[in-house]
Amino acid sequence: MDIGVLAVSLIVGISASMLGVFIILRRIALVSDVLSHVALPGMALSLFFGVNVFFGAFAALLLAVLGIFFLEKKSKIAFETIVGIFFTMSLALGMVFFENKYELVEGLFGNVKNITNFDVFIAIFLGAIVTAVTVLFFRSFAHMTFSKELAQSEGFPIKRLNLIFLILLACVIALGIKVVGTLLMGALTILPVSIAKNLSGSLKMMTFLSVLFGVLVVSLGLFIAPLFNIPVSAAIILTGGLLFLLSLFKFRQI
Amino acid sequence: MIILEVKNLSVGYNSHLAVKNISFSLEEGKTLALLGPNGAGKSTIFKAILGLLPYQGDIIWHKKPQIGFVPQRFDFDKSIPVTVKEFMLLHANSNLQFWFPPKKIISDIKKKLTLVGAAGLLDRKIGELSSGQFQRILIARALFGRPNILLFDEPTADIDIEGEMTIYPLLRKLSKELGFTLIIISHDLNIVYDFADKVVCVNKKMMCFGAPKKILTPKQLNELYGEGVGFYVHHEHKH
Repeated sequence: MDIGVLAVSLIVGISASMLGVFIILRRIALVSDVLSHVALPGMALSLFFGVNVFFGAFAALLLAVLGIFFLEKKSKIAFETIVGIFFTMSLALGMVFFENKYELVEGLFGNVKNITNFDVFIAIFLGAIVTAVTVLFFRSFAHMTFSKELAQSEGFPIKRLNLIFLILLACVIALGIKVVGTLLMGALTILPVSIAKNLSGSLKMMTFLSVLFGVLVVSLGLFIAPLFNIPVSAAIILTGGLLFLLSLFKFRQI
Repeated sequence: MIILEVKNLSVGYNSHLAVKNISFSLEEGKTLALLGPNGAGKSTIFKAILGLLPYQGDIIWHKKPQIGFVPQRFDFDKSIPVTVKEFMLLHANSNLQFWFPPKKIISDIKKKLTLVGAAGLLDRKIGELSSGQFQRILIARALFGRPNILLFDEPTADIDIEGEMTIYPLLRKLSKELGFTLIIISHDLNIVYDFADKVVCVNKKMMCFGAPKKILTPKQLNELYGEGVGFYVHHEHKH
């Protein structure tokens, strides 16, 4: 197996599962799932202009999270509604912009064969930043998931933290798009942490196990895919799903 | 000595006023209750005092306030595995201390838990606590910042009667021992009658202010809550 593919996949697994802790804590699992689709029109545009799809995806996601952030602040529309509207519009735009339907399918489901050296470089660079920032803000992020009021009263700048969180989410999703694609990237932010949650007795353990399962799920997916001759993205998500089902039989919490 | 003076406080959300012209003062070491029906604007007054909402009027501190805040129990995913220790550590001063807490912080957490009678709960998950136990944890958290004033927002729902009965004597004991002034939001007339030195009756606007035994007359209560609300004065508890 290509070492670059392995590196990118592992970094995606680690950063997604780390940030995933807060996606689950904040009960916005579907938001991250849906948000991942926003990347599609950006990817189409970057194909059109002949630049790396990561940039298009990231730009579209960033635009979307900033839009969501300001709309949520300025209007009374529910967070889910805003995300839902962005999502369907993006999907529709994606369909319009993608000239080649084969590329659309790749955008939706990822294709690790397309990973270039440049992708590896970006993944390592950005993955390290996302993971570091998540660790750095871990306490603040955890704090505001319990009670915004309490966090505010203790001087946590929750609006700014929220923006940082959304930008991190945009980074993670953009990173994972080549590996598992837009349709499945949401699952990669949710699955490892959901498995970990079923098995953990503390937040620290849940975070640790989440990253561990992020690495495990991605590695197993990469390993299994060629054996059964199935796409890597499908193998990763199915492995995660299977482990999640197993984790429901809580053996013993650690 | 007066520690807090509130003068003509008005707080508005989106152009309509949630509370209007509230004035009261509070002496150091005493207990003040905000009393009023649901939606009367009591929590809004708290938020203004905490500096979370813009307001008109004056909130004057005669001593630098170190505010501890105990919110109403809040809603979170009960299945999230967060231990009491971790929940308390969210208060730690740096992110690193959350991951690698120095012994001093852990022993401080234990001390605070002992103060609220929750020493045995350190390694329990917060989702598994009874509402009364969780409230004690919230109080312990508020004590972490060594408050000289504690704001306590009484829960309206999911009240565990047994827990509730013991929480006010606990607050009074802590206020004496640690020397903080107490402001409580309460819906329970008996609690206000027994525990508060002063009461502010609020229903969007200021209805009354004074010592509960003097001003909580049947006439005043009728005005505050509508007809037919009475309360039973029970004998002073001796502890």
